[in-house]
Amino acid sequence: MNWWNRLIRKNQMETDLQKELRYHLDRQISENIRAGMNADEARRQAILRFGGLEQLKEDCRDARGTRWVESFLQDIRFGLRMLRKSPGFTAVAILTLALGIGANTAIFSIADAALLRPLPYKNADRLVMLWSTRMKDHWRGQASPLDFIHWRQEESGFASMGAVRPGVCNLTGRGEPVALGCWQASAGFFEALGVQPALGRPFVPEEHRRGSGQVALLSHALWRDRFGSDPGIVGQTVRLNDKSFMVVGIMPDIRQYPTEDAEVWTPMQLDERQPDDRHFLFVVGRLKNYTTVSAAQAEISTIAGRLEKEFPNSHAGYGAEVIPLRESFVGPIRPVLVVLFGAVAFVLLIACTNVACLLLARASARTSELGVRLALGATRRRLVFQMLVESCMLALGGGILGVVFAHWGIAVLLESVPGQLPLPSYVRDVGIDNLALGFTVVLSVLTGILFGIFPALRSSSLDPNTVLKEGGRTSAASFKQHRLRSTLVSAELALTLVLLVAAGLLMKNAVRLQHTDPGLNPENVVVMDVSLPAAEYNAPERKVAFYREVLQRVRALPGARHAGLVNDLPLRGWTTANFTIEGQPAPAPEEVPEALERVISSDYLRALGIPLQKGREFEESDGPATMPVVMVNEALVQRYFPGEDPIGKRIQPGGPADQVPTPNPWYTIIGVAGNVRHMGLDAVPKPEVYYLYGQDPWLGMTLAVRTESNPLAMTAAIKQQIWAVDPNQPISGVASMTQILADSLWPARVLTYLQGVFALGALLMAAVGIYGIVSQSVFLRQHEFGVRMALGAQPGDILRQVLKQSLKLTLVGLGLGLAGALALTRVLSVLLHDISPTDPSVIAGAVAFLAAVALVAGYLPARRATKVDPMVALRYE
Amino acid sequence: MDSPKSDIPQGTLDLLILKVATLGPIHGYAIAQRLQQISKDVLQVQQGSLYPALHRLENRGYLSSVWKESETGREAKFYRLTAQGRKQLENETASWARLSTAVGSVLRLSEEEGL
Repeated sequence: MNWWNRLIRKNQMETDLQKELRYHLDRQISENIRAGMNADEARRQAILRFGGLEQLKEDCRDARGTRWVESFLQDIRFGLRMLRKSPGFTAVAILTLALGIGANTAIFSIADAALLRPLPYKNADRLVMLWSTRMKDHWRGQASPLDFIHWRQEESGFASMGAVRPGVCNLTGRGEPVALGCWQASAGFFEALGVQPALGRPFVPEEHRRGSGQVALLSHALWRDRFGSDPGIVGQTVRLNDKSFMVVGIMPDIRQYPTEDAEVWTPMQLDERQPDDRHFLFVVGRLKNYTTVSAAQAEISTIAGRLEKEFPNSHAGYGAEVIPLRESFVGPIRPVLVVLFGAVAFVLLIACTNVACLLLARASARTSELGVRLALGATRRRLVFQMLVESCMLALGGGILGVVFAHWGIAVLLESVPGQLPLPSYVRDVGIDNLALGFTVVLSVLTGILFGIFPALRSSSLDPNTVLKEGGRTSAASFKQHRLRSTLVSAELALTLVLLVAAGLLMKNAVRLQHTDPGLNPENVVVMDVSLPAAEYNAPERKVAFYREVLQRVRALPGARHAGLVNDLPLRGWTTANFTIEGQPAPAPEEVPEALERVISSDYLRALGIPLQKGREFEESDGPATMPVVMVNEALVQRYFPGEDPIGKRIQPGGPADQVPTPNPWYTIIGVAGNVRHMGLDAVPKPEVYYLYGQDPWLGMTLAVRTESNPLAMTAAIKQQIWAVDPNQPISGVASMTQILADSLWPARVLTYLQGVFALGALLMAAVGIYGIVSQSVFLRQHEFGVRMALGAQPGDILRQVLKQSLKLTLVGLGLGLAGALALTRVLSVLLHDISPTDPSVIAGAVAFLAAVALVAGYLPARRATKVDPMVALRYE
Repeated sequence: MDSPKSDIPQGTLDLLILKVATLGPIHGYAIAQRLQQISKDVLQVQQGSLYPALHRLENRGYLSSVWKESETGREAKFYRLTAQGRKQLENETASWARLSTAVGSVLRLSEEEGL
């Protein structure tokens, strides 16, 4: 019989053993009788020769090699029985652990989605992104075509390299007009990613040449949703921005960075002889098999150094950085995950300490049971193992419930993600997969061992003699064990303080962001994006005419107060450009003035409630035929016209290098607007120039309308007016300005919320911990208190004494926690805006709060000490 | 009855059982009898201690077992040496021979040198 059969056919084994031994004995007995003994004597002698029967059977069972499994199962059965016998303890322990483990499972699932899941590309570890960098302000961002073309021509460490430029285009002629993510992909882009069209063919080199025919690749999702997965679409034409494109292929179903927003790809046609030096390309490279990232970095840096000398006007002060693809898109989320993982690890540790305390308390109730077992010959190892089995069962119970909590928590979290927030797609793919389940199981077992080992070691080191003598009464062991619990409770308080400080800092941060003046009045403003097709509207007058009519019609709507246009809505994007100030000496290349560029219509500032500080706003009378005018913001005045009146001064778009061969026109500054926090509420306002829409028309603009009341109620009426001007116009991105502001705060808010929940959970557990320890101490010392009261001590004296003890615990915990907080909250600094990670008011608040909770939690059981009846306590002796 | 008796040295019981089992299928009681007869009552085996050893050898695959009718007509568990057990027996026998030669020569040497 093999091992497995021996294990599962246990009864058969037992019967056989019985039969075999019986046979031997019977033979021996008959032998003895034959030798002349009487029946009784024959039996006695046979058994004597044979040896102790039960001991032999045990030895035979050991010989089977299945013993450990059987005793393990026995331990589980016994453990279940013990846990069932004290349902209160079991429920509290499992719930506590479920909170700790569930929080870890949830955060692990997020980290799993962000960091661990493989990218859907072949040999994705060879993929890198190449970024342009600027030393002076540690900026890192898109590369320019000039960079890309030189990198690609001069590098040798890459198997392939390609670039994409995200964009938007309008699809018409196929049902309702719709704005799509249209990305231009250079030669080498799909090759670098290792992606082939699922249907049809990729772009061919000629299609990347300027002026060649118009072709497009469709994303799998677009093909499915818009074209009903019809393979016949390959070879047909579609109208994009009113031009015909032939569909040459369908991409495979890959929905992940860097291509998640792309619905249509067209070949990028770069001007190789006079490349653009503006930064709008995302560059992806595939390293050759034996090239390391640092080798590639060294090579690209050399090229960037050469470009700096060769093109000082556009490249002075610029470098380049090679970053692994995964790193490129998890970089920003890493600090958040570090903070959250730290927080949940602390929560779990606190849960462990709490359950360890509970186990210790229970162990003292089980002292006599353990004593008896030791006295009957159980080994210490066996007892420890059995108690660990019990604690692991608790932890697994907590783990199972924890997965339920985590599942629920993630659902709530995803529910809160604003629909329009540009988040990486993996955020929406977060869920509990097998990896997360495996993590939870391992974590549960480790947790069970962690919180079980101290109580198990402590309570199995009993001297059976003393235990049996004392008969389960309060003993020296109980006091020893009480000290261990006190230490645990202090540790728990320390961990809680760190969490509270972190939560306090994030909360103060979020509140401060909430109260940051965005520089505009978001109440009663509705916005929507309009994007004109270039083919139909290529003449500037046509764009201006379209928008002028839309504005007039919208302003005429009842309930509309102001209506204006802007190319990039605050918090939704920005462009940076150089400019030149009239009458100032030519600046060094890296000193060329720089500002955010925004194109607006008249009435835009009033529509968004941006205050005018000086001068005048754009008027309807300003236009292409009149003098070119601009407005600037206060930050620009402070930076470039300190102490001067900027009104009437003239600036010119572009740096000195951009003025050849034909210089740009000079624009006169007519007004100064207040600063707007365009790049996020936590970003310092930058210098900014507002150009007039009528003088620099763009195709895609955002319409902003200030209304009398509920702005979203006017959406339909506004859309109707736009379609009255051009029925082919897709409209997207409808939102209220208050919503946009709130969405921009979502990451800070959700982080604060999570940290707050974790800290409150920790606080609750710490309070329970203190309550438990003081209760136990009151119970252990009730005899002493009885004697004291009999000798004349006042209830107040007793109360003070007990409180002193809990105060000592609290002070030790707070001291340790303070040190921990000062050391650990530094990791938060990247997430904090204008707040030091050691902000004294936050730390003082957290300390005071925790101390107050600890005192109350200690006071409640302490009061019980004063109610000890001396007679009862003494009689107990 | 007064002949000197020895306990079986640690670990040699397995060797003896395997040796006895070479005689063919044999049950526990018979093994006990054999050991006693062959060793002329010198080796003192607590008879019961055979069984854990038998089971251990069976679980290691050195012995196989079958239930069948014994000489008294009752069913008994008969053990038989497996091929693996035969090999084990050879190894053990060889190493026992080496050990006893070595111990023997050390003892002789000690006598000669008068230690």
